[in-house]
Amino acid sequence: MKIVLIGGEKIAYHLARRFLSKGYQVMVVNKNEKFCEEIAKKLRALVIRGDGSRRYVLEQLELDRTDLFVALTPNDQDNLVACLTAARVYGIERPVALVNDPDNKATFQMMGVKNVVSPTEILGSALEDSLFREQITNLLPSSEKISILRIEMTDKSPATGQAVKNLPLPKESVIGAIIRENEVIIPRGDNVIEEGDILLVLSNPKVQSSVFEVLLGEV
Amino acid sequence: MPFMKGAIRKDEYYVVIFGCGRLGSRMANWLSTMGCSVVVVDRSEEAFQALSFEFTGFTVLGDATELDTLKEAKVDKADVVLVLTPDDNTNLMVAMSAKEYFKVTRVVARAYDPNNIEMFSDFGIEVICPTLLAVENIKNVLYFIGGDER
Repeated sequence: MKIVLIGGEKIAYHLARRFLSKGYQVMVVNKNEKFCEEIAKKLRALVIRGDGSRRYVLEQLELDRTDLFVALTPNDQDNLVACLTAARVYGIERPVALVNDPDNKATFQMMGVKNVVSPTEILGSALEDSLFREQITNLLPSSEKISILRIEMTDKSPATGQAVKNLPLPKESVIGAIIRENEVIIPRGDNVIEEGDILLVLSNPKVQSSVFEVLLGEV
Repeated sequence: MPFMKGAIRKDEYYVVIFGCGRLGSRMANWLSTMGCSVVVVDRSEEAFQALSFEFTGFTVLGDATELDTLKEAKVDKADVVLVLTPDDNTNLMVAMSAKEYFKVTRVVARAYDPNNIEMFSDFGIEVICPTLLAVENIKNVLYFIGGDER
């Protein structure tokens, strides 16, 4: 099995380095002549100059079904076509595509490219996590359709001291449980939130930020 | 409308065109005069200057490789989508999104590279390949010359 990296400069370089150091055979395909020369000097990878979404370029790679084929270009359309060609013409079982616009993920998967990585999404959720790290944990980080959040209430939280029914939470969210000193309360409208409570909140990811605002205040 | 073979009969067809270059703008002008409701998408504002006074549709400024642009152009409501940007890969992706994601009945795309035709048609996209059209035309011209000499 070999690792085939299509496009992408810095990422391709560092991935190539990583896999070479683990003893894999690595192929780097890139349109940029200067980049190809540099890589060829620096790494033991096999370097091919060309557009990796073109069949006559892929032809030269002697692809095998079991190869790990990764498309890393900054253009989603090129990654899609490279992966589709690899899968359909050369029988690559699980090509991996980088998507720049996270919305394109669904299209890729519908077209049969199931392994899709979105750096924007990974960075976005890492940033969100670091923004609220202390008080909030997303218990189901991989889902796009629902967030299950664990939120700790402090004396500074605007919701502390308020009854659940008075909280202006968005419609697509609900406080599913309150954990108070190891007791679990399934809250009704009359329950009052206290300092030190841990709330388990179910919410549509789209309204997540307004949930934070209601429970934790301006962030 | 006679050119809408196989489509559902209705008073006004909604056509979305991606790419407002030489081909895209001409198609937009013509479809407009034929009474279609037309939306043209291009990522460059200047491209829309190619639209004539006959054009009565709307323009959307945006990158066709972003799904939001397709939503803005209301691709889901389209009877026909024409994908005519100069880049085959872009055309493939946009056409596939229109077909698979937005379930558009008729998607017609341009592919310069004849190698790409199969992939398009496997997904039910109708392909126009200028290269093959030119080859056919030139063959005919040459045949005619040859015929003259014989």
